[in-house]
Amino acid sequence: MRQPEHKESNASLLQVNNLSIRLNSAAGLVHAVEDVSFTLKAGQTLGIVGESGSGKSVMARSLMNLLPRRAVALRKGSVLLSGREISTLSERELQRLRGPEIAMIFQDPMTALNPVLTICVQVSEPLQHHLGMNKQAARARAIELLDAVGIPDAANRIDQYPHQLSGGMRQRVVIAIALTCNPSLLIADEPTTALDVTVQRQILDLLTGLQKQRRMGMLLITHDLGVVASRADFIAVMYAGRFVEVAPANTLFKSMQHPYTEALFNSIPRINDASHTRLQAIPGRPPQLHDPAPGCAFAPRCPYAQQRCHQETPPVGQAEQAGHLHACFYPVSVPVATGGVR
Amino acid sequence: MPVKKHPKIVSRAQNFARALQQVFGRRFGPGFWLAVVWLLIVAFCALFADWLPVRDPLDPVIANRLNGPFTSNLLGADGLGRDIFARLIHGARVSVVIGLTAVSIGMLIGGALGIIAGYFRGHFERALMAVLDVILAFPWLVLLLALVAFIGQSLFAISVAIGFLWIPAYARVARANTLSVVQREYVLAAKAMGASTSRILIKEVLPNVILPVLAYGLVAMGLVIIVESALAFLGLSVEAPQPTWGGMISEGKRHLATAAHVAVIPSVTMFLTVLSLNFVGDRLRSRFDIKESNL
Repeated sequence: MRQPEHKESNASLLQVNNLSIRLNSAAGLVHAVEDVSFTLKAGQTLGIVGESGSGKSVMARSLMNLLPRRAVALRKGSVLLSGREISTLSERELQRLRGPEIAMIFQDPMTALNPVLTICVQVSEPLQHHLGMNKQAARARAIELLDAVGIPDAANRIDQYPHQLSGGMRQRVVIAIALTCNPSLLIADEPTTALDVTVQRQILDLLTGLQKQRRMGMLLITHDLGVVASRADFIAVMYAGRFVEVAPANTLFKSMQHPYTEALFNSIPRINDASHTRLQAIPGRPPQLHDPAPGCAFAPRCPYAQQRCHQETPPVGQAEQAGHLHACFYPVSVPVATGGVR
Repeated sequence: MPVKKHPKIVSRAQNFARALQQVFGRRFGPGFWLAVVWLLIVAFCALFADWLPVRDPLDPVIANRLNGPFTSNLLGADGLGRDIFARLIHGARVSVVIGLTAVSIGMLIGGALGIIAGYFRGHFERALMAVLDVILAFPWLVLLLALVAFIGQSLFAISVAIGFLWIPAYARVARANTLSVVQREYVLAAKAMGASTSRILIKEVLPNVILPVLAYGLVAMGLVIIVESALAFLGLSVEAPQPTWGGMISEGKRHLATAAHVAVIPSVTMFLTVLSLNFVGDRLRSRFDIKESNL
């Protein structure tokens, strides 16, 4: 097992440098991820926010090298997990890495569990496979894990099949499976999108609790700013495969720089708005990711876009505050009042 | 955290019992159970033909020649004076053995090929599908005759030849189901937990593909019995004097004008058996489909 000192060390757990991914599709090359860089330390949470099709899931999967080989047309940049380059590892080495080092929680607990295997089989298998436990030990440990993720009567629940559990329960089981081998990095890919709102909150609280307790690094991927607002240390806003703004969570909400972040923030309904206030939707459609036009991908929908925005791609630049990066020629810079976010 | 003693160690068995109840407890209707009873009788006859108190199926009694039912013999006698009832019971053995063996061969080989093709895709899939299409496009009776001429007329050889014909069908069913299972997130989830390819195939894909493949088995068995009788009708199934249903129909056709029962009785027996297999197979399949969609 890994030593706790290793996790406490200040070295970055995950370092992504200039990652670009293009995928083959019927319509042509899809520029799914463009020039993404970030670092994550043990015990930190990076929230990645973006709308559907912005490349969040593709990026998350590429961090574990889970994209089907046939689909990937091009992969540039490096992904270092605890200093080890992921993209050059063999399939065998990757299999050893997945589970004990890096684990993933999927969006839809209805499909993320195998319907024909009992919970016991699904939770204890990684224990037997990666940690070499025998059946009895793995079963006992699986019951502990189910207990830890808040499944009541775990000793009996463990012999049930997924269809006998509710959606929230299933997501707890999925989390338990991800935690079996004590991963140092946990990727949660829209963990609550398929659940209803009351359960969402419980699951998120559970996740952040477990993450603090085990000092895991966590990537929390969502399309909902409210989900990451109070739970992430850093927030990255993703648009058309790029990180358009990255900042510590509290800085981001105090001074948004990128017009897209602002638009996203303004599209959240607020409880203290007068009734019948119209929501500010973002005009236009999300861009097609194959054959992207030159210039900033958000320019066609941006209220502040200038001539230059349509011609050049803005580089990622530093804002005034340390650690606050954005990719915009004309940052908004107007401080937005905080509060009102869930 | 202390390891808690789990109080219900039997719950797995209870779970299984509950599942059985869910599958079989709902009403199938009397037709289903009649079909099941008929199939059980056929299976029983096939299994215990040698010990049942019936006459020798190979013993010709010239005096009884072409006697009708309920005379000297319970179901009459054939052109050589052999007891039709005894021959039916011994013929069931051939039908059941060939049905089971041929379907198993098709299921094992075709199923394995289909799963591998559906999981790995690529060149192997394309090549396999091309070969299967060629086999399917070939007139099956001609292919079967060629195979039988090549590998002989023993019970096993006939089973292998008919089983070979079923490989394309099973490969297609298995491949189609594998394609849809591989898309599901739990396969990706298993990969994300470091499962190896063989583990994914055996633990994630196989249990989800096997149900539709098995459900297809009973219906296929009915068709296999018909294919065998077609061979027997042409005199190319198991060699005489071993009784088979198809062979009995074939022998009976000579006496159709004078003693129709010699051909009709084995025909009706086979008809009922194939009908029952289709009926039971169909009902079970629809039940499993409902169960699938409920998950």
